[in-house]
Amino acid sequence: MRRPFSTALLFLAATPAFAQEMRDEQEVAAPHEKAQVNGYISQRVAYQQITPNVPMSTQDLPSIATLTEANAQLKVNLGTRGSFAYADLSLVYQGGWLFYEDDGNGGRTRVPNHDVPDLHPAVVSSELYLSLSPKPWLNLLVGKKRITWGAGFAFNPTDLINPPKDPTDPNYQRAGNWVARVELPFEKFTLSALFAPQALYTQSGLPYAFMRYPDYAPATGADARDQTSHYLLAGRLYALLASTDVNLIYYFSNAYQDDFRNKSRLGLSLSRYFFTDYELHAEALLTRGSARSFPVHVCVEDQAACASGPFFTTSKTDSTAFYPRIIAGTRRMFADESLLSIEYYYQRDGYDDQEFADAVALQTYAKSQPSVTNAVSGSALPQRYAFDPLRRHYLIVSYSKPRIADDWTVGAVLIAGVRDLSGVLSPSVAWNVREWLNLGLYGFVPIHGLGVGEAQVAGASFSEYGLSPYTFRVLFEARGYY
Amino acid sequence: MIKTFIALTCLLVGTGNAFANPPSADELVHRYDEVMSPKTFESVIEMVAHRQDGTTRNYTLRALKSGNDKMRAWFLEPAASKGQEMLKVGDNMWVYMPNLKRALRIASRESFQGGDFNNGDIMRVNYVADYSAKLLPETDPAAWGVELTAKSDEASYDRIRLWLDRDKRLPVKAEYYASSGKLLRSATFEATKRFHGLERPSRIVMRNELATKRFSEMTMIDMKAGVEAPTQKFVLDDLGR
Repeated sequence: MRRPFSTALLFLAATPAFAQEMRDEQEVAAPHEKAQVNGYISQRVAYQQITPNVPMSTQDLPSIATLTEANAQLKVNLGTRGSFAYADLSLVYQGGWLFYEDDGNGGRTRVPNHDVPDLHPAVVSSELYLSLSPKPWLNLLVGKKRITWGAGFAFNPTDLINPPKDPTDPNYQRAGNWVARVELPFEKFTLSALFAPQALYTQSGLPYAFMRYPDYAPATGADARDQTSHYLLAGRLYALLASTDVNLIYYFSNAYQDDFRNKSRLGLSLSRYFFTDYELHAEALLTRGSARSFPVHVCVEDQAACASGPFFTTSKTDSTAFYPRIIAGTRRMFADESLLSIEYYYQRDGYDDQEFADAVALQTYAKSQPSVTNAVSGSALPQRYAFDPLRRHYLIVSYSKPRIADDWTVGAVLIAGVRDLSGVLSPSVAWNVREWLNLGLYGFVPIHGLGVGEAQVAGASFSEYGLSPYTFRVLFEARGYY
Repeated sequence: MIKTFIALTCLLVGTGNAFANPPSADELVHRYDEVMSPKTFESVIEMVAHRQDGTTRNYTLRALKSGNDKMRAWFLEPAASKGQEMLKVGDNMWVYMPNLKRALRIASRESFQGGDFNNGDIMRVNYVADYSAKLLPETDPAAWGVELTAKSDEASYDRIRLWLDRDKRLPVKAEYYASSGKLLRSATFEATKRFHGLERPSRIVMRNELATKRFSEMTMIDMKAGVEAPTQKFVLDDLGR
C-alpha cells in the first residue's frame, strides 16, 4: 500500500522530536515554585500646556492628569513539564483636571471639569493566558498574550495583533491580545501557528463577544455591528541562520482591527550583531492595498457636498499596489554602558503632501461642526505617548546613559518626521533610589519643524507634530516593585 | 589478560608523567572549564555589585548550561529584575525583558546588570573554544600561569592572564585586558567548596580596574553538574515561558 507523501513528511519531521523526547524525559532539577507573584505600584502625575489652536478638539484633554496603577503578575506552575497559567493585571485609577478649548480668536478658554470616559478607573489585563507543554517540542497557548516577532526596537510594523507601542518608552510594553497559538520549538527553528479572534465587546478588561457581533447592540458606545467574522490567522517560521534571527511571517485576516477583508500579508524580520558591538535589524510588512483612512479630496473642495458623507475613507483597501512598511536600524552599547538606538521607518501608505494638507483641512472643518466628533482622546494612559505616524518617513533615535551619578540615568528619544522635520523630543531622568524603587521625570516637547514640507491650509502652515495639542508635557512617575 | 596488564601499566605510567611534568597551557584551560563551567550543570548564583558610593545591588539567578555553547539564566531577585532571562546559543546572546514581553539581542562584552562582570563572564564561560593559550613564565611557586588570547571578537575579553594553583589546579586569580593592553578587571577565586562532588571556588570577586572603588562578587549558592536539560530550554521562543 502506497503511503501518502504528507505522511512521510510528517514522519520525517517528527522523528527527531520523538528521539529528543526520550532524552527530555529526564527532568531538570530546577527549584520551581508552585506559584510566583510580583508586580509594582506606580503613581504618575502629568502636566501639559494645552494649545487648542489645532484642528482637533481638546475639550477632553486634561492639563493635569494623575494615574495610580497597582499591578500584579501571577504565575502558577501546573505540573513539572513547564505548563503554567499567567496573569498580568493592573488596577488603574485616573483623574484629570483643567480642560481648555479653542476660543475661536487664537486663544483658549476654560472648559469646566467634566466626566471623560478615557479617564475612568479600569481593570487592565495586559496578559492572561494558559500555556501547556505536553511535549518539549509542543507548546499550546490560549488567552491574552503579547506576542512580538519583529526585531524593531521602537516600532514593529509586522505586529498586527498587539496594542501600539510607545516608542518613547521601549522598555515598557506589556499589553497583548487574545490568541490561541500552537508552537513547535526545535533547536534551530520554531514553527508557530496563531489564531486571533477580535474581542468585539469588553467589560473591565474581559471580552464577552469574540469574532462575530452578537444580535444586540452594546449598552454604551457606538454600534459597529456587521455580519462578518473578525479574525486573524498567522503562520511564522523562526530560524537562527548564520547568527541571524530570521522571522518569516504570513498573515491572513478578515476585518481584524482594520477594514481589510480576506487579506494576506507577508512579514520578514532580521536581527544580527555585526562588528562585535553593533546590533543591526530590519523588519518589513508587505501588503497589497492599505487599510489607512485617507481624506476625501472632493470634500476639501466642496465641504458642503460632503455634509452627509465621511471626510475620511479607507479607499485603498482593494488596491493591488504594494504598500510596504519597513523599519531598519542599529543599536549599540558603548563602553560607558550608554545605549544608542537609531531607526528609520518608512510606510508607503503614509500621507503625501496633498493628502496631509487635505487631512488638516478636513479636521479643521470638522472641528467647526458640532455634529462631527473628532476630539482628541485623553492621554491614553497607561502609555506615556502614542505613536500614530501620518506621513511616510521617520527617524527614531533614542539614547540613554546610566549611572551619570550613582543610580541616575538620563535619556532622550527623538521621533522626527523626515518630510517636514517636525517631531517630538522626549528627554528623561530616572533615579533608581532603591532596588525596589524607581523615580522618573519625562518631558515631551513637540518640534514644529523648520518651515519645509508643511501643509498650507487657509493661509496657515501645519507640520505633522505641529498638530500636537500641547506645547510641552512633563510626567513624573514613582514606581515601587515587590 | 597480559594485554590488559600492559594497557593499565601504560596508563599509570602516562598518568604519572602527566602529574610529574608542568601542565601544558591547554591542560590548564581545560581544567578551568571543567571546574568553572562543566559541560552541563544547573546552579543558583548570587551576585553583589559594590558601587563607588559604598552601596550594593544584589541579584540572584538560576543558570542552566548544556554543552559548550548553550546557557540560560533566570533572574530570581531583586523584584525589579524578576522575570528577566538571558540566553546564549553559540555566539548569540539575548535578554528577555518582562516589561517588554520580548527578547533583545545583546553583546558578550556589555556589562551584566551594570556591575563589573560582563555578559560573557556569566553566560559564556568556555575558554577552550574562545581562547588560544600559552604558559606564562613561572613566577609564582604555588600557581601555574597561562595567557589566553581571544580567537575572535565574540570572546568576552581580548586577553586574559589566569593562574591556577599547582595542588588542585583550581583557579586563584585572573586579569582581564583590552586589546590596547589596558587592564580592565581583575578577579580572585575564593572559598573552595564541594558541590555535589565537584570541588571549585564558590566565590569570584571581580574588581573594576577602571573604577577602583567598584567591585562585584559572584557566589555560587549551589551547583549540580551533569544535569540534562531539554533542547527547548535553549531556544529563543522559550524565553519568558
